[in-house]
Amino acid sequence: MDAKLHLGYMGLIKPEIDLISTILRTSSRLDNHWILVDDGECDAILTYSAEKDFSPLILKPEAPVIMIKRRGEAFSGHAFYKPFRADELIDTLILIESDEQPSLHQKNEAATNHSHTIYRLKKWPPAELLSLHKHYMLLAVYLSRGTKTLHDLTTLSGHSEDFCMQFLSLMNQYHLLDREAGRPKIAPVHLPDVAMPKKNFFSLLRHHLGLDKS
Amino acid sequence: MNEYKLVFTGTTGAGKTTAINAVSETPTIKTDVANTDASLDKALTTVGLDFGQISLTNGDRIRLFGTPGQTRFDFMWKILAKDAFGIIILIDNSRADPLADMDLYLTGFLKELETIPCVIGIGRSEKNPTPGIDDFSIRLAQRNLILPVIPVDVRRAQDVILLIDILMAQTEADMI
Repeated sequence: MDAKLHLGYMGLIKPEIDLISTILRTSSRLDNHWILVDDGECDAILTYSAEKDFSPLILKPEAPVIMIKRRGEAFSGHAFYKPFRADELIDTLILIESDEQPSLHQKNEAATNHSHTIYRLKKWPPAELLSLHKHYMLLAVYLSRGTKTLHDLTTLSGHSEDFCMQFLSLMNQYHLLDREAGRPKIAPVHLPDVAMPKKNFFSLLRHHLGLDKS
Repeated sequence: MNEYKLVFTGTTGAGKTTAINAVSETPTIKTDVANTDASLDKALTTVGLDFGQISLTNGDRIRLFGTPGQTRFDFMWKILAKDAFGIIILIDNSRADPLADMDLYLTGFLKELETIPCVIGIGRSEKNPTPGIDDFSIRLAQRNLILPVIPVDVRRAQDVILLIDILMAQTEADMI
């Protein structure tokens, strides 16, 4: 597909714009088909407001409005719920795209290209970034303990590659990430002075504390 | 049956005893005495240690230790931290210099922090927003440390549980 689809936005704050821009740019499912715009003609609009005046954006005829709502708020149209989940926006955009174009996209190789890159945090992220999603905190924790691959992150967190990649891109955008091509380390870190708990210890403790790992 | 140790540390009045109470299945065993420090708004203060416990269904136990806050008892910090699976540093943001307080404990546990997971909980930050959470991260970065820093109210069990969850996540990350 040559022409990009335009997702207009209204009333979003900068961290939200950055987040959504990152989702559009990094999602392998969206295959880089969408770009975020704040003026001109667009194929969908993301907004908090129910107003019909979108200027300087121009909504194409029949193009949908995606309302930003609080999770739990009832809404019958296209909606993107806060706290944001990348997969939900991606699903919505693919649905909109499929209305315009008959075929859905094949996954490209973008995700697999990332599989051998190793990442590590340079410093603990600003609270404002971590507040964008409730699961960002733990992803930052994982990345703060030595180098990790995308696969490591998905294994540790239980989240999808898209979600973890979106987080990595956000960290990179704010210059918080060291990246290098390489092979993931094979041997676990040797920590002789630490009483390393057995793995089922965590599941039992989480259960005891009422924590839901998912 | 395995036993694990979790250490709560921080300045006097930061809420170590309260935090342990929030998650311990048994009433915290305290070694409190009357507070003689007029600058502290509390009647009792811990001079030895606090102790609480969590028992798991397989018989494993997590011993929760609160260190004495006063620096004159800092010899006990290392004793308590030996073989711990995590250290929780609680900071009272209403004090005169919370960043210096954090420095004190980072220095006190410097060797342990090379291997033991650690998280920083900032208390009373809603009424005392300065320094901000990010200021603590910046100070940590100046010391070449990357540790999670989160605002907490240790009276809420969920906040204490989040601190413990972060320690577990750090340990899991070390295992992979």
